[in-house]
Amino acid sequence: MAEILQYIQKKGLFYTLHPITKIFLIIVLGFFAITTTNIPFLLFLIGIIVVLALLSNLIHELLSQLLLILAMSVVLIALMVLTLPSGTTIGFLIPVGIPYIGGSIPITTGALEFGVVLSLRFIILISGFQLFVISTQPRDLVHTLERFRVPVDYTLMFVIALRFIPTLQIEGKRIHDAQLARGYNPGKGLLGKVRSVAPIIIPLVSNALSRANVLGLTIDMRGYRKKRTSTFRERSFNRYDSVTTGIVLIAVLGGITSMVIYGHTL
Amino acid sequence: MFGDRERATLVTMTATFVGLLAIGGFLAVPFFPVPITLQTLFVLLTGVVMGRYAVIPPFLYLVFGIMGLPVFHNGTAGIGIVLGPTGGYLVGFIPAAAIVGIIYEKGKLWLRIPGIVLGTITIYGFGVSWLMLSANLDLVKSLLVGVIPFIPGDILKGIAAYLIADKIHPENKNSTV
Repeated sequence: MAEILQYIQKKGLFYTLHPITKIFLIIVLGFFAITTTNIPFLLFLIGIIVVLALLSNLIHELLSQLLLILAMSVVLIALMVLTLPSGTTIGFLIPVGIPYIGGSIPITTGALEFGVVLSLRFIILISGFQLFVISTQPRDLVHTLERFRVPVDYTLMFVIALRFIPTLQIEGKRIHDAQLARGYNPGKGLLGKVRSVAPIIIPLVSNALSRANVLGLTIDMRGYRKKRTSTFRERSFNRYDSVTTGIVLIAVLGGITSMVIYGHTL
Repeated sequence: MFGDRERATLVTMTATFVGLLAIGGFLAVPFFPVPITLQTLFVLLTGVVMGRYAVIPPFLYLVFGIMGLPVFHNGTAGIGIVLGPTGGYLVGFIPAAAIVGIIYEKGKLWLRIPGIVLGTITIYGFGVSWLMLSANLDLVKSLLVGVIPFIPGDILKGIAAYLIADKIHPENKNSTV
């Protein structure tokens, strides 16, 4: 299981941008992704994310999630085929030749198209957010959230949760390996997977709760709610931020103007 | 205003359970139309451990997912999942955790199993209602695809939550009946 949502130290465009600029960029991409159903336009937005990842030396990290995204897309398309049939029927999920149940789940063009649109939207949303998280230091994230006047409790919840997701992921795998090393044999296949859950969950939850208690005590002792913070390490805006914001604004205004003048729709 | 250890622990506990809920979403067994995940187990455990504050982690989990963090089942994210056929189950996590939390906080031993059952039913209730609306299915069909296949798994998850609660808080075994 690959580690996800973890800050990665590298050099590139996304590392030089201020977190607020990155948030703005991702909100704009997300807005367009959610409002449009145009597949070529969604592919264009994915192209923008790929270019950004290339400029930030993060393309490898982005591509490492490809398998997960493909699996998610297959599930989404199948879900749409099953629940939202519309348009022309081009085949059946269960072949007609099978007695009794054959031909009972039609594959329609409308469902396929909607499934593809949903998958592309998720790719944009997930990849955009992933780029933001893995290229932003937790410290900068906290400063940015403080600037947005997010209460310190919620800022900490967000940052700690973000940090805990990969930690718990790795710990789950370690516990699994440790149980196997102790001779635990859950068996193979689906039943084995089910059996292997209990010896992982109990230590995982127990360790996570102990860690939460220690962390709670630590942050309290360090006076996390005193609000006496230093701006010494706070990031400032640079010319890359101005250029990126300018390009995004021009693209948004250009898009809106084109829609108004030529009557294009997203 | 420091020296408020309970509040600090609440912050870290919330973050921990958001993390656990997300991990539960990654450990999904693909199934149609609702994937089987360990999330419901962690929702019940949130209630067991956090009491009335159990309402916060599932809520934040939902917010994180809507924001674009890939924390939903199979690493999905976005408002589309919440508005999609499985969205009701995700929204149902919030009242379910609250119900289990409040019941566990009461400390009555005989109320715990009904509490866990009620929490699970709440998730089903929200899930099926939204499944009917979003996928335009009738009640019987929704129950067939969104409840019946998951009952054996959820019974196991309910028992697991009850037993894990005892392991986490051994003092619970001897508390007020």
